[in-house]
Parts: sequence; structure tokens; C-alpha cells
Amino acid sequence: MYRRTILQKAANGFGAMAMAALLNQSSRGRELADGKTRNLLHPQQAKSVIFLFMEGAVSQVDSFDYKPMLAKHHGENPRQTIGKIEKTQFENIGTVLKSPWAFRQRGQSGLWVSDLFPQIATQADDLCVINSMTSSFPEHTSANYLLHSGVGLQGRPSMGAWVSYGLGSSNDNLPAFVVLNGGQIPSGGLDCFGNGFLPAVHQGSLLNAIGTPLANITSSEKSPERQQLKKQLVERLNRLSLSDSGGNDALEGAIANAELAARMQVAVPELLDISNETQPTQSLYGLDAEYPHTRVYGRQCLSARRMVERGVRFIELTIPMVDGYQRWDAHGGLVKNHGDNAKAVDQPIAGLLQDLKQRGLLESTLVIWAGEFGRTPFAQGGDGRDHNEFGFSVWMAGGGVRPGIAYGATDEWGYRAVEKPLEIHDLHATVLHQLGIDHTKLTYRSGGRDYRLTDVRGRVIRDILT
Amino acid sequence: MNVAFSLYLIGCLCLANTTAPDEEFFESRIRPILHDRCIGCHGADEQHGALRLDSREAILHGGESGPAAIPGKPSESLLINAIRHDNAELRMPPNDAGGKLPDDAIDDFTAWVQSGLAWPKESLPKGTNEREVFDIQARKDRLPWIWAPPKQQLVPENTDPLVVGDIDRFIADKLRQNGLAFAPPADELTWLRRSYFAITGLPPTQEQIDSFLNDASVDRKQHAVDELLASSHFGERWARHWMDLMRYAESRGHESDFSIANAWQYRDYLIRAFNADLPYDRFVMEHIAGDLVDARQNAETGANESVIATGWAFLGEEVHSPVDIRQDECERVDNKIDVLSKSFLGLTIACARCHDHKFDAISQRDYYALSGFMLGSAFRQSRFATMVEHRQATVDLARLRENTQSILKKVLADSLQSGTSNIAGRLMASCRVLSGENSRTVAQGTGIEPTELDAWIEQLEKSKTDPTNPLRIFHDLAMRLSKSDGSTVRAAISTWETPSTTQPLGPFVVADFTQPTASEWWNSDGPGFGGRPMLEGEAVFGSPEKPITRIMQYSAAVRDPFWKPLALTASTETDSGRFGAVNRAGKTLLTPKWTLRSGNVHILVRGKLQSCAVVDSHIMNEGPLHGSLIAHLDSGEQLRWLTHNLTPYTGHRVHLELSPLGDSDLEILTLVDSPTTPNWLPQRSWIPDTAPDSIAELCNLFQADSERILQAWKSDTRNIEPRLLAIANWMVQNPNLLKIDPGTIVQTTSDYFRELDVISKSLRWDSPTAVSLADISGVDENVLIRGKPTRLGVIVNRGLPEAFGTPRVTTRQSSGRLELARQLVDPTNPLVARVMVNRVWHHLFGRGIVPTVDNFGALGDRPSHPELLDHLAWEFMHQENWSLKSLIRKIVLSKTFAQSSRINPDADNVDPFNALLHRMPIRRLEGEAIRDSLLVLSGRLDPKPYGSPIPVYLTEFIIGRGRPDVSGPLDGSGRRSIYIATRRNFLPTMMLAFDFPTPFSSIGRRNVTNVPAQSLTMLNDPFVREQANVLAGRLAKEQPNTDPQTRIELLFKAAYCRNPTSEEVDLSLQTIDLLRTEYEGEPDQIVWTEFCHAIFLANEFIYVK
Repeated sequence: MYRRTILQKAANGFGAMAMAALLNQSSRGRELADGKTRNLLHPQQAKSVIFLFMEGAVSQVDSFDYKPMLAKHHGENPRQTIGKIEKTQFENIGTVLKSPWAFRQRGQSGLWVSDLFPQIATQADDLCVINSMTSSFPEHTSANYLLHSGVGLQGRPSMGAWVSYGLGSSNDNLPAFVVLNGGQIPSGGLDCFGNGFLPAVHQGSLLNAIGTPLANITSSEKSPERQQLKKQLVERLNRLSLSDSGGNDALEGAIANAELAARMQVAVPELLDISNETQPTQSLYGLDAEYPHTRVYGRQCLSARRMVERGVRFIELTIPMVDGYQRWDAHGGLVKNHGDNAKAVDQPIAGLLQDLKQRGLLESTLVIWAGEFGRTPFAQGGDGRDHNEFGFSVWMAGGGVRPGIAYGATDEWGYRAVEKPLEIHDLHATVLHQLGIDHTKLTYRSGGRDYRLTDVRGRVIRDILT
Repeated sequence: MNVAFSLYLIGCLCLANTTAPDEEFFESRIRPILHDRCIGCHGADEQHGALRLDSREAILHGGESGPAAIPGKPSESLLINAIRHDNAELRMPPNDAGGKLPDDAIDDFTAWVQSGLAWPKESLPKGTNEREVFDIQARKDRLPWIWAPPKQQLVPENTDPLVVGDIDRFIADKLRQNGLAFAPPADELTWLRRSYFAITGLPPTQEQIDSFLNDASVDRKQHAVDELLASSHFGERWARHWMDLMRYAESRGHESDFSIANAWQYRDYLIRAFNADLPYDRFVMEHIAGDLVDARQNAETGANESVIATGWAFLGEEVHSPVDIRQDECERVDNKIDVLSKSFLGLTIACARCHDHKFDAISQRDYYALSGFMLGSAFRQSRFATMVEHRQATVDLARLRENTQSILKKVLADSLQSGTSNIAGRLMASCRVLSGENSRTVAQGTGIEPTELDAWIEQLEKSKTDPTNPLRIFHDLAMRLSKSDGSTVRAAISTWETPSTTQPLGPFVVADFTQPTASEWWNSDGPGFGGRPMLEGEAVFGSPEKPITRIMQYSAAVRDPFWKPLALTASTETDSGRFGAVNRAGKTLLTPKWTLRSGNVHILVRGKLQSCAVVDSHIMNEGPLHGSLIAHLDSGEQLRWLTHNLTPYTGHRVHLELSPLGDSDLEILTLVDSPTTPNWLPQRSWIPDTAPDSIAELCNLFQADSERILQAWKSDTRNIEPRLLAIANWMVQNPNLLKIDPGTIVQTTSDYFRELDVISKSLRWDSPTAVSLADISGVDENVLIRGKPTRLGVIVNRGLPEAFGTPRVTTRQSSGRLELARQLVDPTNPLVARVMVNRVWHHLFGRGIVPTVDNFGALGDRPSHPELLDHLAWEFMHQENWSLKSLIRKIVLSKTFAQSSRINPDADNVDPFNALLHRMPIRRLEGEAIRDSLLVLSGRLDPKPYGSPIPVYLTEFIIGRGRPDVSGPLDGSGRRSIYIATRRNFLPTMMLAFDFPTPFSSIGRRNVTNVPAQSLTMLNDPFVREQANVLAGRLAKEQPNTDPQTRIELLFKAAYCRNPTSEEVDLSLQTIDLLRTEYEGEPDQIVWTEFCHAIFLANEFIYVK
């Protein structure tokens, strides 16, 4: 009766759904199912993650990695100045390019942040900047898959899906992994948020920041009463067939599932309804900004905070579709591309950090800001930068990471990570660690192999933890 | 205890459970780093500095520099010294292998050495420099069952008169052993619905239910099953199961989700194959080597079915502009091996890409032995509809030409007899005129007609600009006639002997069609180049007016003008990217594969061509990189060396695919990979075989050679001496000069042209194309150390994993897939039949006899009924001719399959996962079956089979780069779900909610989840709502005057295949009343729409009891 006991023990809701989903499928899942806390092999620092994905790759040397040498050698042949240049995506290598944005030391910590992000810069004392991240792929899609799923290929579970699988949701009416879409679905498509071989319940639920929030969430009847009429009949029919089956737990699970769906029809619109947020809060997120994309991203960031409050485990934000740009992918026109993209996200992110902090949520919320790779310190053509996977910057805040520090370093050009170089797997290991999960032990068997988010790699970056 | 969490897993590497804390530290902190960062150079495969780091003993023993570590003394340990990067001479890992370890790792190592290098007891690699032997037999002995071919089994006895079938006896036997028995049979309509979904994936219609109930015979179940197996919907259901294994999709995913042109032809192939009950062994043969086996032709269209099966290889993800093209190839090959090994063998061989499999009898060598089959093959769009008849036509054409040629040459020889008899005199006379003598005087003196003499002189004049004209030597000498003594003539001749005629082609000849051996490795896709090289001395046919255009002076691959009208059927899609820019199907010449040396490929060619360099089998060519892989080259009218510059790809494997551009003629002679362009040309002018003493003698020699040609033609010797080819060609080019009677020639060839016309009119000229494999050449891959393409290990011959004991494939001419296919379907292969039988069982019962259907190996589950599986597999192979329909029929008609699904708590306690099948499981329908059911109920189902996919209905949640331009209709035109487009990045929301598998590798067992998105879909999806409305409309139309109760009964029957109970009728009537009140004043159809929707929402609709 083991299996049935578990099902009965599990509450109706997303946490339970994850398990019920597994019951049908995997004997390993059954062993996972008897309590979420079992997974936490050490204390949990963060309860939620907000992943601010900067698709297209922000230039590290124009944002968080200050390299005065670039100004000194501006315009020179990088092969002579920097030395050996690796193959790039476009192979259109120009001269050494200094940053158009001034760098300054910020706050108490004295972290270097450029004027590209004047608002985020005000929160520098909460940031833990990693300047020595590396990727394995110089093109977007594979790098996106790597950053999201630990493998540069399509079809593996996304980081959020692993977290959902590992922890379940702590809100019965909302999924554990939500993607708040600002408009820019990354290269590689929705598979960046896929469940891969994990059960579908772990799939990132794509919520639109604007328009209908979730597929089929809007009740198709004009009034709840009308839906209710049908549901009464359906519930009775379901009970009859359940009893006719002798109490089959798949049918029982499906009944619970229908009830959950009904509750979601209320919970999701409520979640995204920000009308009762105060005017100062809305301003903090840039919702009154002139630039429309700032307002979109502000809405996303504010919704992210509301999800944290409601116990959503993993929230990923895609960036808004800033007119005329392929995301942060500044192969040309660096100043306008990065300038516009920064204008869209700078205030909302700074607002999010402040808001989380003042509500006491930052400690238990790990905010991650990262692109899939960085950009070259030398120009592509005249005024762009090509892809650079050899060294770039990401930052984290809250969730038990040390605030106001910079970790690792690239060479004097900002080209290659030379000091404490990290892999994406290390980032994954650290994120899971902060959520109380040992990345080496969160496994799922598929097609005869046990898989992990970190594959065979990954080390927790202990130096950046409080 | 939680097994998943107590196992420490590194990919495939499972380490033993450890207890000692030091050892735990080692396992979690040290071993992963040793494994990832050190063992590659200091392990079993390589021992840089004679050092191994894969055992404690080895570390203490050390390498060339002495012991690597001293327990308790990290500061004196070389290992610690090296990883600290303190000493410039000794920095490990070196920068080109990832560089310095993170600080905390270094601290861990230091602590580990300090505390004495804890290492758990384990079997150690023997001796510091000895390679660990992969003991294949020991590995096989761990799971002897999967490595032994299925044996005929004794069917267990059973005295119950109702348990007569073999399957039931095996099942009953296990149940009895566990104190269980069969559940009571399900009622017959439950069985009927179950069987319908199992066999066709559709619910029975009202008529089908009635016809079943009206069948009074005792065999009515058999009748129903036979009818279902004969239904064309059977193939649609079972093709979809197979498509999950082949990670079927119609686009390549990745960034822009480019199309895989015509991928759906493969889907249609599957449907036809399953409907035709193609024996599974043949099905496997066609998948592996459908391009190499004798074609199985479509009975109606004559199309080559077999070749379409090979398209599975290209249904995976592809990257459009990979920076590291070779690494990308490794990923693609890996995916193919993964699909092949899981689908056909139920083994995970892809696991052995970087190291020997940690549990199964699969070594790393085995992985690379399979790689070779893929590397020796290539992608093409094959003209499957016409290829069989075109191949035959090529043979017929060749025979026709050969026959005509030998007759024609005889006629030509006769006709030339008089014209050649006095060539010498005419040549001499012409030379005299050219040297300054008066032409009239010469004409009078020789008795040659002045007009004829003028014509000869004109010929000589013309020859001076044509290096291939055999008269050129005479023109040259005529200018120096006064001094034409023997030595002058000989000196002149020597200048004609260009050194290039004997000059070798240089360091590396890729392909040389001028050589007689060319036909041995000749490889063309389709008839465009006529099926073989044209040989020197062959006559080239022209038009009825000018039957012979020339005599081939060299052998070459020549575009056959007959095939110029080859066309694509209108709806055929073209490949995306640069490779798709030119239609190459049916007219492409393929070179063998080689490793690029200089990177400059020089092609001796006449005409216009597209050269596609398939480097590292990369074909998805779109984006900033790799544009140079495709070159358009044009030599004009002359034979020229043209260069395809591939220097960035030096050292990579490549083969070239050459196709004509437009309608132009094309001949290809030779391809050379060399730093410099060769100066060799095969065109020869005429040179006498003996040194003449005067021009007069030279003229005589010319005449003698001319006569020799006629002799050869008369005696039907095709191979006249190469030296004479220039004269032969010159003769057919100048019929008037040599007084050939044009009428005779035209008459002689009229039959040929008539015959040609008949063939031409009989042929189908347009064909659709299908993604297929092309065979290139035998490639044996190196073991790539730790899976890295930059680190080459030993070369391994192609073959199945060693554990199968099958011979290796060594052919150089072919990829060897045909041999592989034969080995797979040999009845002694232990896995192929078992794995498929188990898949069928899985689809019918929701659980395989081996539950891990894609993995029979150590990490899979053990079979619940191994004897039954063997029994079925043995009969499948030896008695049922690999018939899937027979197998399905046997299972569906078993007592086991007919059991009730009702839970029996006592039995459930003994067999909680129903592994012993003490009842039928209740199963949720797949997304496809749910959608198809809605269409059947509403009457909207369009049963039309086959054809190009219906575009996905695009919602605001189906988004991303490469989103299709056009949205399909909400109801998919009423077509079954298998016909809806499967675009990797834009899968239909409903399918994703219901566990449609992400098409990345073989998924033999879908997830079956229960998630709110499913309920929300049924509740609010516009498609579901629309079908409720269509169904209500159908009720109104077909049952305009029936009372609500009858309608309710009809709906229950259609949706659940049963009559409602009286309680259900009452509930339904109440609901109808409530709905009527709620919707008062609105049309009655709305009430029924709502009620139909409720019928869809009940669990019974999407669950099968």
C-alpha cells in the first residue's frame, strides 16, 4: 500500500502534483516522494530564485569588469596588443575597443560598475559580482541551453525544472517554476525552460507579463457559475467512475488535478494583478517610466517579487523586446544597443533589489543576473563586439551570497578568465546548494542513465557564500 | 533509504557506497576532480610523464619525477606543488587543459594529502603502466540473459480450460506462484474501447459499437481485432509510437528552427510500413541500409519505399553555424548512435563516448566502431518516387547506346573508307600551299579539286588555335617546309610532346574519372551523370540531325543530357540554407571521403557546377560561418582547373558533392587536393608512333593511323589507342571533308533516337524527395580520448559492440551499413527481436516486460516475465515472420488483456505496481489520442491519410525565434494529430501539456503525468470548446427531435463506449435543466455545447479502463 499511502499523504496542490506525476512513471520518483524535506541535506539559504536572464550577452567590459587597458590601447590591433585571438562567431575582428561608459567605484564596497547601469550601481553593496565566468559555446543557442540546463543541447531539463523536481512548490496553487515573459524568447526557444525527461509538471510555466498570462488560464465561460454547473456534473461523474474503478489512484489524482486547475484560474490572475501595489512601489520598479520597455520589465520584476511572496521556487524573467535589437547581442552599434537594453532593465532591477530588501525577502531570495556569455574586448567591425565565452561577468544578490564583493578575474583585457575561472556548472552547483540541494545527489534516471543538472561537473563556489 | 540520493553518481560512473568520512571526502571532493581534470592525461589511456593518478598506489609510486605525493606532507608532494601553479616548470592542470583548479579544490587536495590520501578499497588497475583490460566476458556474465539469443520456451502447464493461450499460461503461472489469479474479465464494451485505442488510437464510433454488439458469433472479438488491424488508422497509431523513438520532428530546432525539408515523407513511410505489416526484420534493414538493399517498391506508385526509412538519421537537432564544426559533428553522431542503440538494441551505447561503460558490456571502442557507419554516410534528398525506374532506364539507355555505337562505328568506318584513302596526299598538298606554293599549281599537280584543297587548307589554318586538333603539327611544319628534313620534323614533334601528358597529378588525388578504375568507386545520386563514367573512345550522341557530336578523348564523368528534364514535384520542399539553394537531387556526383590536406581542391572540369564540400558532415549551412563550403565554379567552354578553397578546414574529413548548375553541360575529370594547381590536361593532339624523316612521311603516318581507327571500328574494338583519339574525334567532327555520307549516319541512328524517345516518354520526370542516407565510403573512426575530437586514440573497425561477437566490417567502398543491418536482424542477435516485442507489450499494457524499454542493460529494470518475452521473441522471428500484427493480435486477444482493471485491494498489496498483471492497468490517453477522440466525437475527423503537415495553430504561447509565418487552423483541418506539424521549437501547447516527448533522443516510454495544464486545456482550450460546439451542432442536426435522455445515452456511448447508469442519466438531466435555466433565452445548442463539454471534462473521457 506504500504508493497509495503516499498519494493520500500528499496535499492537493503543486507540491503534491509533482509527486503524483512521478508515481505513474518512475520507481525512483516513488522514493523521492515521501517528503520534500528529505532532499535538503543541508540548511537552505534561499527559498526562491529570481533569474534575470540577459539574453544575447551583456558586455562585461562595459558593465561590471573594469579594464583601463582598453582605453590605453584603444584602436590598436588586438593580435599585437592582446596576443592570440580565438576564433569568433563572425570572424570580423576589429581593433581594441574601450568602453563608451565610464566606470566608477560604488558604495561602501567600492565595487566597479559602469554608467551603463546607474541604478543597479546604487545597489552595488548587495551585489556579488563574479568576473571569471566562462561558457563552452560561442553561439547563443548552445550557450543558452548550457546556461539553462547544463548541457549545450536541446531537450534537457532547465535549472528551474530541476529545482521544481527537487523541492516542489510551496504554493499549492502555483507552479514551482515560472517564466515571466517580457517578449524576448531566447534562442533555442521554449526548450530553454523545458522539463526535458522530467515529468511535465516541472516545465517552466510561461506567464506573459502583458496580455493573457497563461495558456488556457482564462475561464471560457462568461461567469464562474456557468463553469460551476458543468463542474458539479463532472465531479459527480468522476466520483462514480473512481468508485467503479475500485479507487484507482490515477483517477483520484486526476480529480485533485482538476480542482487545482480551478484554483489556478483565480490564483494566477490575482498574482499578476498589481493594481493594489502602492504608487511608490510602482515607481520604484519604473512603472511610470517614459520608456515603454522599462515599464514592461518593471512589471515583470514586480510580479517576480509577488511570486516570491507566494512561494514560487524559481522565477525566470526574459527581457523585453527592445525595438530593433536582437537582445543584448551588440555585433554593431554597441552604444545604442546596450544603452537601450540597459534603459529597459536598470531601474526595474534596482527597484527589485531594494524592494526585496526592505521587505526582508532578499535574504531568502537568490537573485541571479547573467547572460549566456560575454563579449569581446576588441571590436567586431567598427562599433560592435562579438561573442566571448572565455571570460565574462555575472552577479548574484541575496540568498546567502556575500554582498559587495567581486570574485575571480579576467586578464587585463577582460578577455579570458584567469583568476578562479568558473564554469556554468559551478553556478548551477552553487544555486542548488543555496536552495539546500546537493547538486551531486539530485538525479533522475532516463533512458538508462542517471542525469544531473551539473552532469559530471560543478563545484559549489564556497568563497562567495556567507 | 532513498536510493537515488544515496548513490553517488558521476554520469555513468557509479561509485561504491562509502562509509569512512575520509573516504567520503575523497569521493565528494577529490575523485571528481581527478576524474575530470587529471585522468585524461594520467590514467588508463595516457600516462604523461609515466604518471597515473587513478589509484592510491599509482600516486605513491609516481612517474618520471618520482612519487606524486607523500602522505601527510603536502608541501613536499609534487602533486600539490603542481596544482598550486607555484613552479613555472610544473603547472597542472596546464592552461591548455583548463588551467589552474579553483582555490578551494587546491585546499581540498592539500587536506587530503595531509590526512593520508584516503582511498576506498576497490579493484585497482594493475601495474602503473599497464592498461586496464576491459573484460568483455565478465561484463556479459553480469547479465547473461540479454546477451543470449531468445530460446524456444516450454509453455507452462495450466489445467484451467479457460487459460489456453501461451501468453495467458505464462502470466497465470507467475500469478499463481505469487498466490494471485487473473482478475475477472472486463465487460465486452470496456474491452472494445481498450482495443480500439490500443490498435488504432481512436474510439469506436456508434456504428462500430453496434456492429460489434450485433455480431452474434463467438469470434466477435477476433473479428473486431482483425478489422482494427486492417484499418488504415492502425499504421497512424503505431507509426507515432515509432516516431517517439526516432525523435521525429520536421525542423532542426536550435536557434531558428529551420525546416528539415520533406521530413514528413518518413512519417508516411512508417504509416504505410505498419499498415502493410512489413516484417520487422525488413523494417530494420530498411532503416539501417534502405539505400543499399534491393528496393522495396510501392505497389501502386513504384516508388522506392526502402530508401525513405534511412531518413531517421537526420531527424535530430542541427546547429546552423557551429564555430567548432568537428565538435558539432561529434554531437550529431552521438545523437544518431544514441537513437540507433536505444531503439533497435535497447542499449545505451552513447554512454561510452568518453569511457568504457561502467556497468554494461560496452567499451569505448564499441562506441567508435558504430561511429564509423555514420561517418561513412551522408545526407541527401533522394528522388524516391522515380529512383527505381530511373535506375532501370539508365541501364537500358547504356545498353541501347552501346549497341547503337558498335553498329554506328562500323557504318562510319565504311563511310570513311574513301575519304581516308588519300588523306596523306591532301595533307601534303595543303602543307605545300601553306608554305608558299601557288594553290592552283598544287591542285593541278596533285589532281585535287581546288575547292577541296581550299577546304583542307582552311582546316589547317583553323588547327593552329586548337591544341587538340591533330592537324596542328602539319600547320606548324608547313610554315618551315623548306627546311623540313628529318631532324627538323623530329624536333618539331618533340615540342608537341607536352610534359603534362605524363605528369602525375601531385600529392593527393581525390577522384580521377579519367582512370579505368573510376567505375569501381563511382558514386552518384541519381541518373544525372548516366550511371558510370564516359570512357575514352566512346561516341557521344547528339541530336537526330547531328547524331554524333564527338568521340571522347578522355574518360570523364559527363552530365547526360538525356536527364536534364529531371524535376521536382511541385510541393517538394527544398533544404534550408545554402545547401538547399540548388536542386541537386538526382544529379549529384559524390567523391569518397578523405582528410583535407592542403585545403585547396582543384577540379578539372568543363562547364558550370556547384561544389558542396561536406566537411565534418555539416549540412545545415546558414549563418555567418561556413559559407565557403559551397562554391559555384564555371570553366566556360574550355576544360580548366578550378579551385574550391577549403583551407580553413585543413585536417577535417570531407567529401565533395558536385552538381551541374542550370541546364549547362558538365564534365568532371579529376579532383586533386594540393597546394598548387596541376598543369596536366588530358587532351592530346596527334603524335606519330615512329619518328618520320620528312613531312611526306608524317602525312603517310597520319593516313595509316586514320586507317587503323577504321579497322578498330570495323572490328568493334572500342578501345582504340589513346594516341589516335584526337584523329577519331577530328574525323567525326569533319564529315564533309572526309566525304561521309550524312544520310547513312542519320538513318543508322534513327532507331536509336526513336528508342530514346520511347524511354523518355515512359518515364516520370518529376519526383518528390525524401531525407535519406547516402553511402560515401568506409570510414573507421579513432577512439577519441575522453570524447574529445582533438585527442585521437586507436582506430577501430566498424561493427556492432564486441559483446555481440559479430565480425567487423572493413570494406573501403561503402559505409558498411548493409553488413550492419544484416547483423542486426540475424536471428542470433539477442536483442533486436526482444526489444521490439517488449515495446509492443509496453504499448498494449502500459508497461514492458522489461519496464525500461530503451535500456535492457544494467541500469535498466529486470524483466518481470523473461521466459514469456523469449517465447514471444522466438515465435516472432521463427514462426510469425517478424509480423507485428500477428504479435499484437495474439496479445489483444489474450485473457490477460481482457481482464478488468478494477482494483482488488488484496492483489494490490501483493503486486502494488501490477508488474505481474493481476489486472489491466487504467491508462490515460496520449495527447494525440485525446485530440483525435474529440474529432471523432464531433464528427469533424477528416480521415485523409498522408501528406504535408498541417501547420500548428499558433497561440501567443507558441513563440520564439523562427516562429512559423503562418498559423494553422484551430482544429488542424480535422486531421489526426500525427499530421500536425512537429516543429521542434513550436510544439502544440496541448501536446506539451499531455507529455508529448521533447524530440531530442529516443523515448520509448512517455511520461504519464497529471498536471494542471491538462485540466486547464480540457477546461478552456478553444479547440476543446469548439469541438463541444461542433458536437452539439451535430446532435441538433442528426437528432433534431430526440429527447434529452436519448441524447445523453448517445453521448455516453460515443465518449465512454457504454450506456449511462440510471444515476448518471438523472445527474445529466438535472444538469441539462440547470443549464437551461442559466442560459435561458439563448439557443438550445448552447446548453448542449456546455453539456458536451462536461462529457469531455470527465476523467472517463481521457482514461481507458
